[in-house]
Amino acid sequence: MDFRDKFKQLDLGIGTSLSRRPIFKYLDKETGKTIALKRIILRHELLQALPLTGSSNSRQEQPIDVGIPANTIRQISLYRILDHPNIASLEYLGNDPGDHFVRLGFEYVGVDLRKFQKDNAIRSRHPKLIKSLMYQLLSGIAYYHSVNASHGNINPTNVLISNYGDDNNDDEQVNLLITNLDLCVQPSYQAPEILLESNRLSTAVDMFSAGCIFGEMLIGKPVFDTENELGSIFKLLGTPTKQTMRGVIDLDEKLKKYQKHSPKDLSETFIGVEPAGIDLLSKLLCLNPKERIMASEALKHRYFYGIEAKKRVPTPAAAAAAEVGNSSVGPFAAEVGSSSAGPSAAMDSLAAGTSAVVGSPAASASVLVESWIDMVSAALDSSEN
Amino acid sequence: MEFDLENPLTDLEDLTSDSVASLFLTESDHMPSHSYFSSLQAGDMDILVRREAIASIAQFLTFRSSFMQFSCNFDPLLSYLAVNYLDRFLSCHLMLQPKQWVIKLLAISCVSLAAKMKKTDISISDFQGDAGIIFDTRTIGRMETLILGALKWRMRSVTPFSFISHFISLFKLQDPPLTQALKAR
Repeated sequence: MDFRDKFKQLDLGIGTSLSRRPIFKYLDKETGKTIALKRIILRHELLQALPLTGSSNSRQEQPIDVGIPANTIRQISLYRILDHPNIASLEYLGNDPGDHFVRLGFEYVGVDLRKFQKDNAIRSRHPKLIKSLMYQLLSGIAYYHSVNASHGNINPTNVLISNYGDDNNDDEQVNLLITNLDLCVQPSYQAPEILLESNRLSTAVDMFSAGCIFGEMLIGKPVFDTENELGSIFKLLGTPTKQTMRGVIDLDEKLKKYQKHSPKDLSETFIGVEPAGIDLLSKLLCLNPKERIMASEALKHRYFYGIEAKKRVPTPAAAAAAEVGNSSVGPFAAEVGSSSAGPSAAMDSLAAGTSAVVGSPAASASVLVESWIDMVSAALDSSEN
Repeated sequence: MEFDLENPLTDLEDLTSDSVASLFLTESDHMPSHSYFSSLQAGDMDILVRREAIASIAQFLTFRSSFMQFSCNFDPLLSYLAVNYLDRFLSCHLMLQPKQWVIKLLAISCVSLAAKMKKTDISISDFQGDAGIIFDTRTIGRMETLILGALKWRMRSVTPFSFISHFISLFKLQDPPLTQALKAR
């Protein structure tokens, strides 16, 4: 179905994309869900014309290859399987008619973190709420990392807060979702190694971004400057030296233009925060990506003692799935029966595949023989030497 | 964003019964439709199409390994993944009497997609020459788009390999090397 038929654009824009287009929310006319769109370019030539900052998609090195960029395929097929209470689900997927880009529609509930803080200045500083939100944020990031992926673009526009009600509502109820839109955001929430132009995207970059968000929640404004991002990072955390950032990047040349600072005591900047919180913050904002805390460790940090992981709010599909698992023998057996037909049927097809290979036309058989001869002769050569 | 065929959903070492249940649930999204097998058997669809496409896939891959002189051993899972894409594509796009080049194009695109998912360093031009027909990059790109659309971008296939570690763990083996040896099969 055509995109315009299925969705209705909602009035209020939610920001500007990296390619300077306004991004709107859309209402799914059938399900009543709200989504926000992300566009992923499919053509190499268009991809190269884009500015190379911000989006995780464009920052990674794109080898010149045929067809659809491999990273794009891996990225989208990853979104396809992500299923976590703190990660916005992919609700819509469609190509434009000319196959120039893919439209990804991510679920959009509530407001982004910036707006939440602006509208609820007092409540958003509540220590208990911050703790609960940070736990959800780190759970989402930990899930990403558990499938060997990194988000690469964690920032306040990609963190959605919902179900917060008014000031009297329970902090435990507030829900956090990580989405992945390419919105412009100032300052950047990128880790120093990215700003220093090391192109390696690792899971550690997400942890630094999480640290920036944590700090922003604690003091109610961005931790680092818009103008001089690296400079302000070094001002707070100290200018890296060969010892503190060993083996990460060749620093000498790049650090010349920055003033030398020694690390500050974080509890002086983040006044009134409990010591465990300061400790977690310092581990997230660790300059060296190799020593930075990992998401799964961070969740076990003593700052979070007494907090429990959020249970998934049952959606119709999830509830049905749960029913299949828990209900009496009848339907469950049926389920297993039909599913176990799956692997075996697939095995059959694999067997059919091999027999087809054996019985393939003479051309490919001769290739097989040739390659075999090549291998044998090569092996003989090497043994003689 | 590594993709492990044996562990497509998560990377957690201990597969809980929960995650196995979700594997079962998602598996059907990664299989050809039920009617596909029956129509293949009944001969509704030309089984030769499938056979020929698979032969092409095998041909591309064996040519590639002879070209590389066994310096890089080809991942057999790569061909499995390619055939999985092929079957799923054929099951939703009935191709009646397709031309020879269409089959070749389909095969080459499936291999290319599988290689991209497995992060195999492969260049289509490596085996283009041997295929007899040479496609330009744009054509392959469009075929890839078509396949991705038909498969709804679900490229992290749940396959029998995904279940192996679960079933092995059911044996409750005390002996880690034995578990490894079983997996290696």
